[in-house]
Amino acid sequence: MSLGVRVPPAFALEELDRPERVSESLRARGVRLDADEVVLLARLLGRAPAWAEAVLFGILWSEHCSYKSTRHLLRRLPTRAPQVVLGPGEDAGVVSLPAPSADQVLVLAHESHNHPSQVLPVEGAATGVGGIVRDVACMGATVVGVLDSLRFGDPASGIHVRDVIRGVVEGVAGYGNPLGVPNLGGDTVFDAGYDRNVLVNVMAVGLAPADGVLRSRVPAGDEAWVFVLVGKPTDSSGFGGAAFASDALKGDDDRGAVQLPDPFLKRVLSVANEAAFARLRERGVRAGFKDLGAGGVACATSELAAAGGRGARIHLDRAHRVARPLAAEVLLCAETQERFCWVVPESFAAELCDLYQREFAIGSVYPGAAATIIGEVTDDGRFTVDWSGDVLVDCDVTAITAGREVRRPSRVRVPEAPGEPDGTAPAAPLAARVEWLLERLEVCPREYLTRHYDGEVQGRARLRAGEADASVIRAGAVGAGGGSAVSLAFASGGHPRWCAADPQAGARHAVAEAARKVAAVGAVPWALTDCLNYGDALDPAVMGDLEAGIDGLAAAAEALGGLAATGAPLPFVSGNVSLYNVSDGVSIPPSPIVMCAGVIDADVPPVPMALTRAGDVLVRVGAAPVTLTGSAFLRATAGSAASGGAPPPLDLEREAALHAFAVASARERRAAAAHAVGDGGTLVAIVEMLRAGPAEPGLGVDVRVPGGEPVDMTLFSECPAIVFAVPADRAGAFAEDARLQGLDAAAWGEVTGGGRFVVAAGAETASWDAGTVRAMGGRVLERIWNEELDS
Amino acid sequence: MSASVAVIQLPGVNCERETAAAIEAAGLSATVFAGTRAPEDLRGFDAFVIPGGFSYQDRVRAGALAAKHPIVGVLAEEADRGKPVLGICNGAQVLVEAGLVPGGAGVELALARNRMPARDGYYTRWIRVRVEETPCVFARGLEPGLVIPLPMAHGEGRFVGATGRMEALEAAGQIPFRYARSDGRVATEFPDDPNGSERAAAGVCNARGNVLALMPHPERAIARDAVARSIAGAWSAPAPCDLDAGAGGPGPGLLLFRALREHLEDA
Repeated sequence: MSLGVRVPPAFALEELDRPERVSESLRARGVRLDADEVVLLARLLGRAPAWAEAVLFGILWSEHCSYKSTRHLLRRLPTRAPQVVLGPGEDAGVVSLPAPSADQVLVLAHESHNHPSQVLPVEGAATGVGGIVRDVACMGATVVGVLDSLRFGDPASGIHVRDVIRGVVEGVAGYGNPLGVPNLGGDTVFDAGYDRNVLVNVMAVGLAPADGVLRSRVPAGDEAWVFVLVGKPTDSSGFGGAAFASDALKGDDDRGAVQLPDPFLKRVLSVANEAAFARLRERGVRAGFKDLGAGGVACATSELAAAGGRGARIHLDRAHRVARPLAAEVLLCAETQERFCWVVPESFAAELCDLYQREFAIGSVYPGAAATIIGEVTDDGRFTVDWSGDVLVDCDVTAITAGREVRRPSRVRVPEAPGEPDGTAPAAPLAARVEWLLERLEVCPREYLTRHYDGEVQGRARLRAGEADASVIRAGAVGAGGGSAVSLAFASGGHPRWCAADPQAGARHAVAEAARKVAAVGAVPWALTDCLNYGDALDPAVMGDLEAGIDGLAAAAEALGGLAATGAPLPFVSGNVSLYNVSDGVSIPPSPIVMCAGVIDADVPPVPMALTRAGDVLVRVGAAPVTLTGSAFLRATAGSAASGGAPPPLDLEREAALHAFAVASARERRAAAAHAVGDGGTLVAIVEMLRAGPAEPGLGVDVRVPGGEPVDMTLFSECPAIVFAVPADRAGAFAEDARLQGLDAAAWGEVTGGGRFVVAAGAETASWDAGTVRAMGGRVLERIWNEELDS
Repeated sequence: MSASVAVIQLPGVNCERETAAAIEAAGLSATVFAGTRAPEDLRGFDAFVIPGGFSYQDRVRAGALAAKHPIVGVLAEEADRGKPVLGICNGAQVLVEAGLVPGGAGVELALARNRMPARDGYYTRWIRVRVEETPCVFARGLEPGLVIPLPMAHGEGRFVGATGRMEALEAAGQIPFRYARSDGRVATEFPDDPNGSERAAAGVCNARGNVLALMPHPERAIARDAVARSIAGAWSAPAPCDLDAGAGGPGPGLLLFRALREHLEDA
């Protein structure tokens, strides 16, 4: 097929003797192709590319879409285990569930929306939620939750950081709440390393019938298959978004590359999609389904065709679009939100379009929204796009899927040494040290932010964010009682300071932390997702950190999968890489962020963190609190610039034993509450347990810190552990059983009915009204949110 | 055969499924009724629920557009015949915007933006409501003074009326549910009163008691083990070590749907 005369090539073949110059001139016109990619593209096509082809491949080969700098490293992550139905590669990963929920599968996806959220926080965060929800939905799933891991700058750095904080929270709430997908928590960290580059990681989780998972490919079979584009009319929003997300933020006005969200349309589309899933199952019709993200129509249709080993012919004139004129390459590649693409038998296409347009009247929900047949599957192995009589794209589908791989230079660095108190901290009474730590930004409650989010829509909630280490929802039919289905637990992890001090050990901790939180509620760690958020990939130090991070994730995942399947790793089933989180040459701290999904047996009540029963004994189980290195306390006492040193030691074998112990305790209903030790150490964890429970009955805690001097190390160490609240008559045996598993176990006092919070540590004591302790740190984020600052 | 309840699914509604499940859990039959169906098809149902969500994207005002939908016209006529109508959260906003609550004299109330110290907009929390002396069918059989924990999740839930109007409604028993403190007294401060509603109203009904606009979400509180861990007392979720296998039992929100069922069985 020859190209139509009216479509000029993006460059002339003769220019290829100076590919750098071609690359520069394309970049000036908004297409990002490196010099070697310019040459490669011409070779793949056997001619000079048409303009739309240059645009398309610029997106396909962007870091965001191609993982070109990390693909070879990502192979080090374990992805196989018996429960894995579908590992990384499509929009979302899929894992099986045990009886009595074996008729369902769990669908997981994890993405970043970092660059857009820095530029336009509300829209950036909202479309982050929207995109990840589509990734899960397009597997044929009902989306039952989203989580967000947010890495904000230091609010003390200025008004711009606070605007980003407010905007991102409003974006997550403003999209997720109307959509009707509950927010299942996540985590929020503040660090000056993110002052110019916020991280917004979003995770979505869904449930699909085990025999109803849709794939993003043309199904096998001789039917005449057609492509059906569904949703919002294509406009120019988000054009170039993938390339934008694959570059450093420069302070230019990049706002046009940020997509525009519409949760209202999305809600109706979601309901219609699920009706379509049901219709397909009822009729026994096979189909492929994919959401439209980066690269829009071009990427979705070409990838659907290529994944099925087929070709595609797209008639762009037929695509519904906004009334104003759009350039062909914009129509082809814009990242307009709230769109999906189906591949269905031609004989079913009209009925499918009718479902969206008549039964759910999407055109009356959003002007111009529609479902239209835009092309057909071919057997010629080519991907062609025509438009107004011209051929815009004509290439072999294998060129689309060829992928790119780039080995970037990397430099491994020496991790920081463990941090120790240097004796410069002013001596203060115990009460002052505790109060001051609880008021710290890194330790204070996140409740002010999370109360913006609807965590209960859909009626599946069993434990909400803030009530336990992991959010827990019922997998069964909405409204069904316990016992009829397994429950699912979700938590995230990732500590920027620890990863900055030691990228490998910090990454191990990220996996262990997420899995530990899941185990604390009584769930078997079942699968992982990750997002590798790093800085400038052209900086060898950043690539060295990334490689170390992947090795750390892999090592921890290999060690912590045994509860789900003996001898198997905890598999990564979905993930994302976000590079070039860099402004003015300053990269973010290495920031691998991990989500762990867990499964709780149908007849096992999930374990909250709330203290509710006077008399219960607090038992800390895990690694003994033998060092302050990496702790919030050490960072705080050593001054704001201090890193706090290496993360605390992590013995993965003992960590696995801790998870096994926590899950067994839940199954045997031995504990009333459980909470993993996190930022601030064991004493802070106990305060958080008190805070999570009811204020009314006047519960208090008598904390009796085991061991002698130095008390700060025992109180504030962040060595991995879980604090359990155990009925007094069973506490001795509980601790003894933990020790038999090779775990350190010590009683830390008891819950009282006296309404006082008392700490006795070595020769020191401190005492407050319990209500006073519950309130400590509670105003920190409220103040930051509302404070007026000059810009 | 159990009485049948229609759950109205207008575009943007997002609580239709758990609302239908809650109705079923109370022993009634529930049908999600799509807004694209003929409104006349509603006549055969025994009761109606407008569930929560963001109908029509809260354009103009929350509930304002849905209130003009022909379906709501049919609901008004069926309500005049005495059939029960419950609006939850956004559904409550629709009923107030349509003038079905308090009823009879056009639009008399508004659900204004929450009034909260040091915050604005959407807010979620488990709160408590107290049952008052009332003809409301959704409080049928519930002792006045009974305190029920429920979750709330909204940005515009503050009932306001012309001077004296809410006081008059209270006197007439048309505020069946008021925000309450843990000791059972009427809430006077945030966050027990989460939005600054006049007379601490969480729900307002018509004079006959068959139409209720309720801001909190009873359909999210159908199982006792779903009750928030911040709630102590009779409805508190049991600690895992206290719980017998499979136990948990009905949650506080089910009381309202059971009241509806009793009413329909008598009708």
